[in-house]
Amino acid sequence: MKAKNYFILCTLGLFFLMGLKSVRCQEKLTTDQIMQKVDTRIIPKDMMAMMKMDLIDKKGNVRSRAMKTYRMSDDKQIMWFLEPADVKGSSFLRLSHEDRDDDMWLYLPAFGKVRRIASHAKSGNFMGSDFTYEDLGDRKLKDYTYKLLKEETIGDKACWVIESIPKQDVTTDYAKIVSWIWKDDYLAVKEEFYDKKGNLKKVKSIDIQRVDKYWVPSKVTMEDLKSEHKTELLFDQISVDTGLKNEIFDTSYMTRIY
Amino acid sequence: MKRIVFLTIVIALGFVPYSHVNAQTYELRGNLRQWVKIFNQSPYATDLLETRLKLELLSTFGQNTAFRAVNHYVYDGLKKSNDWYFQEAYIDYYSRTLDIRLGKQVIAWGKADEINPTDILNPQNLTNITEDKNIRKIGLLSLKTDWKFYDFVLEGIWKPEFQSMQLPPLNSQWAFFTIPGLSELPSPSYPENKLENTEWALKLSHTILMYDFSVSYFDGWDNIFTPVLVFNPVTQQMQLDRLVFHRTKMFGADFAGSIHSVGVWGEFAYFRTEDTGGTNPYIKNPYLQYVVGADYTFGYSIKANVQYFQEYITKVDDDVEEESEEAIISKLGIGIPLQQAASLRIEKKFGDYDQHRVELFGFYDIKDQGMMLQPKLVVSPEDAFSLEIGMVIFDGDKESIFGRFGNNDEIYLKCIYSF
Repeated sequence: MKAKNYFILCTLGLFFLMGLKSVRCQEKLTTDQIMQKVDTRIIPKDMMAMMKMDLIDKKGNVRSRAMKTYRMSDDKQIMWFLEPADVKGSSFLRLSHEDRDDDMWLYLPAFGKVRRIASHAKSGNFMGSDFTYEDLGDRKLKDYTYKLLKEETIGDKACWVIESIPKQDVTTDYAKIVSWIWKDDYLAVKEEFYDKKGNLKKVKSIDIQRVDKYWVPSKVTMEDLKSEHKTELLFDQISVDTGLKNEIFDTSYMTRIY
Repeated sequence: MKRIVFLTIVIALGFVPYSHVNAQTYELRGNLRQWVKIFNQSPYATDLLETRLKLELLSTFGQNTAFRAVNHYVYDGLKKSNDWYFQEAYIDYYSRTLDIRLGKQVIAWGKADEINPTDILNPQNLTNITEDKNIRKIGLLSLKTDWKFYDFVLEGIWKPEFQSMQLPPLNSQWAFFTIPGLSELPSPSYPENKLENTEWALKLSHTILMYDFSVSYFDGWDNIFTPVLVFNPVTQQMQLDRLVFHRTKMFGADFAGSIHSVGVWGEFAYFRTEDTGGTNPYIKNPYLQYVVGADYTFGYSIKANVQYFQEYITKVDDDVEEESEEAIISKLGIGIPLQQAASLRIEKKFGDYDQHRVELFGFYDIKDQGMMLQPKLVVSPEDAFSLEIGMVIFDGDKESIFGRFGNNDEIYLKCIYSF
């Protein structure tokens, strides 16, 4: 009898817990909560990759750059240019901060010294690509207000379509950004960037791949609709959680010979 | 001779196969530059036809050791002469907190654009002031260490070798000054090769909020000689007797950051010469040089930067002494003899990949009323290949350095292929 009661109790308890989980799954997230989850989703502690950056003009002509990049979460990134020969040895460092704009430096061997990229210059194109320095930086959750526009499917991915409008004191080149957030993993798979006049300026699409337990980009395409120019960033030889050391993300590493 | 032996050793080290090192790599890269120049007032069809091959050998031994050598081969197509030299050849050792660089090297200090009062660790070859600054710099044997602690970097430099700025000959069209009756300067008396004659420097760098700061100190030789004049009883005039070098100490500081949407920087250097009291007419008085600058990007592609430079000579009793102290040869640390000047650079990139550039660079000598303008167009029809066409225009009062170069207006073409 005791065993029977115990079994019923356990079964009820199990149903209760399952019910709780079910309620939680069905709970409708607010837009802010979705963006919070995007911001805190699990990403590699660090990542090393080789990158190929193809600059494609409206006639389809391509110029390619090759880079090696190291990242520490979303906060720190260092990149060395390997090709073509006239930019080889150049490097880029970005350090993100919670309470202020990102710090960015560029090293050009011809000058022999590392130069800080001033905040205003972040609207400039990164090495001739369609990415600006701002695009390479980390958007801070608190700097924007969010609005859920609709739900849509891209390929086989069910997405929330969320509009991000920068708060007044935020320095940015964009009036708003519309992001397609993949519901399964809180990952942006497409973004539209609108200029200060409200015109759609650029579209970014992100192909993702699974590396170990993480979803990471395999290809990022940024298309400038006005110039009909686009840049494709292709990731290769990706390694994650390699135990990269913090000190690599320092201006002194930008000038090293590797 | 010592230098040749040293360079041979350093270069050999770059090629030695290290059996115990797993990841040993070699790489040869560089560029080939053809430079053609025609002076406005010249009777010749071409005034410079120079081919420069820059070869750079890079070698790494594992993750901690690397070697780099930079060699220049220069062929003068008009004089049919050639020259080759190593600008740099050094070994790097990297560790978590300490980086060491030993060998012939160029060290760049300062955060300003082109005008860098603190950038005195390497002399420059000033025989052609229109040459790129990174080529003008003369590499010197040095030991450099970078010690990283917390968020600071302490750079320490020891230079056993001293070399002075290489000035244009007195009869050259780029001569900064003339001495009546002299077509060539006598050889200066260099300091003896002794331990106490070596030079050393320190720099502490740090980033606070959105600003990079550094303070620096240098104890070494003034890399411009001081002329000693004597009275000639026959001609009843002062005449050049000899050229000597004096010790100097430099206390420097610089910063770079931004205020709202304007990038700002500054660089300051106080030179404490041997004549701290300003009493010896044959030794320079202490002086201060500073430059402040700002840049701004208009729209997406037009960048502009302006700078203001000034030099103050301290301990000056009267105008006569001030004039003599401001003599052109006194301080060339920034590469060009100026006391008060402003510079402007406007640049616009264009093309599908921002691969082309049009630029205007100008110097205005506020004190002596002269100016230099350099408009240029750089196009890159293919990756790693660029064509630069430009002009250099000098104008101003004959007393000013740019007025002195008034006959040197030029048009030039540079083709650069990188590999």
